[in-house]
Amino acid sequence: MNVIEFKNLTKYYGSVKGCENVNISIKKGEIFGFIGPNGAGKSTAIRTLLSLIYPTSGEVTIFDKDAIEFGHELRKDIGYLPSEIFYYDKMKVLDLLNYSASFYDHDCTDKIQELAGIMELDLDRKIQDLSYGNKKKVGIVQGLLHSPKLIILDEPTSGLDPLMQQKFFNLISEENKKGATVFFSSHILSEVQQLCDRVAIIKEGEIVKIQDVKELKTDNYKKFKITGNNLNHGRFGIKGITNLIEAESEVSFFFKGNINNIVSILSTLELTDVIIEEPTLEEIFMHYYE
Amino acid sequence: MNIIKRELKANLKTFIIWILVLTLLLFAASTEFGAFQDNPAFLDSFEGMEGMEAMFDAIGGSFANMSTPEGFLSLMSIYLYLPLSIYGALLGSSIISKEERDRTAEYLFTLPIKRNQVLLRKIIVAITYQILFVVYILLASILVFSRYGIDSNFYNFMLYMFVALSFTSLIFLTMGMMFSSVLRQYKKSGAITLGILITTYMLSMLIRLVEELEFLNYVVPFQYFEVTDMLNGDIKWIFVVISIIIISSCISAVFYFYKRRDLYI
Repeated sequence: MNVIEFKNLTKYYGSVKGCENVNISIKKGEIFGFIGPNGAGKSTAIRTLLSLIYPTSGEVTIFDKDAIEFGHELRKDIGYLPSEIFYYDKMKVLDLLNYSASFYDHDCTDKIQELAGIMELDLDRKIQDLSYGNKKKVGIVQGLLHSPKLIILDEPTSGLDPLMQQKFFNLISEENKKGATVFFSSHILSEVQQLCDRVAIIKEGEIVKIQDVKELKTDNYKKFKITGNNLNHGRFGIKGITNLIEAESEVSFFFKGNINNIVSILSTLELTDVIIEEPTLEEIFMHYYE
Repeated sequence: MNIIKRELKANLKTFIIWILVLTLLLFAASTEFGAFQDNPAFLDSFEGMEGMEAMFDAIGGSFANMSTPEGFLSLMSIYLYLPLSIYGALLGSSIISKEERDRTAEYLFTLPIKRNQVLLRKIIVAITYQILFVVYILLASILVFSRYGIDSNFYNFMLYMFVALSFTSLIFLTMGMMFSSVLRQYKKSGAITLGILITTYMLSMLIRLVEELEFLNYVVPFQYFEVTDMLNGDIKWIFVVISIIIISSCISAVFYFYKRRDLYI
């Protein structure tokens, strides 16, 4: 079963394009990444999913139901963490969380305490006194307190320190293991790499590619960095090499193809060091944005 | 119930500030009345002053009213109409638009509740505060003027004032809500409603002075309920009907438009 389905979703704000012909299907139990630079249309797609805004054309379904018509019912099972957190400033954290909890049918008290404990959140402070990172923590607790079946995260880690990020990722993984589907938008590729099964790449409002995260990495490039003497003689002009940077004593490039071709070139050289790495997703994705 | 409770709490402080200020104003006014009542010679000195009658006309009263508490209150009734309507205009526009202005819409409307359910609760709270305000003002009037001996005429006048103040201020309350729901520039809803309020107030003064403009009565809420009628135990029911039509149209517009539009976040 597909938990989320975008079908030809197009959204224009007047004449400004938000996103166009977005088609994504997200399976149950999946952690799905949504990658793109700022302003690429990630939040537009997510806000349509939550019927905060309405599509110009196309449709979105969640759990096979129309996201707009059944929005209020569907949202019982959705936890949403927006990229920027805004709550009622004058409320205390605990009051805000209890207020949120009052909209769900089941008791969330234990879950609130548990999540607040994990995220080290002080429940007695007023929202307006919280730092950006602490507001984000409130957002995380608020988004997860009703044990949602679908978790939607819009650039969730900004403002969290690395330790908290890790705790947060563990939380998400755990919820995922319990059966929650996760839709995770980000412009930071390493976190998508760490967490996601599949990823959609969006550029200027349109989906460029949807791919398995593992495939993306194994299929593709190896990153070479070699050092030695008299290297700069144009030996690396063979097929499959990109991003070639040649200097007298150091050469680096990406290679995709039969690895033996490279090894046979290397064997003719006087080398002091060779480093062969998996490129990071950042480096892979740069191709889509060039 | 949760939204109603939250909204009641969120708007309580403003409400208290408004009623405190109005209480002071009423108290000052009643004291001023005391000065007239104890000193008939003072009133007589107005008699025969040129332009005095015209000035009273413009504010919708008559000079003869100065000697009774209800008459005096009718002369200063605009000081009740205006603050109650301004309160309504501001409350109406802010209770809807604040969610987008403070960007809490992204939180509130991702909770499992329909937009119209949220609106209904907000409307209930806004109307509750508006009516409470009217009731409070009238009770406070009775209290501060009771020092000067009030009779059944005063109470009757208060009853009519309840109808008049409620409908007039509810018109501006729901108008504010409507503008926040319909306009793309929802932030301007308060300013626009206040603009209409001030314009219609100016018009109402003009209509009283220039008879040819009387056809405008139908579009100027401040003209719907004449204090002189109400002092005589009368009210023009057609304007009650018109008020109800305006109020329910504004509320319908809120329900119709708000759920259909993108939230501006």
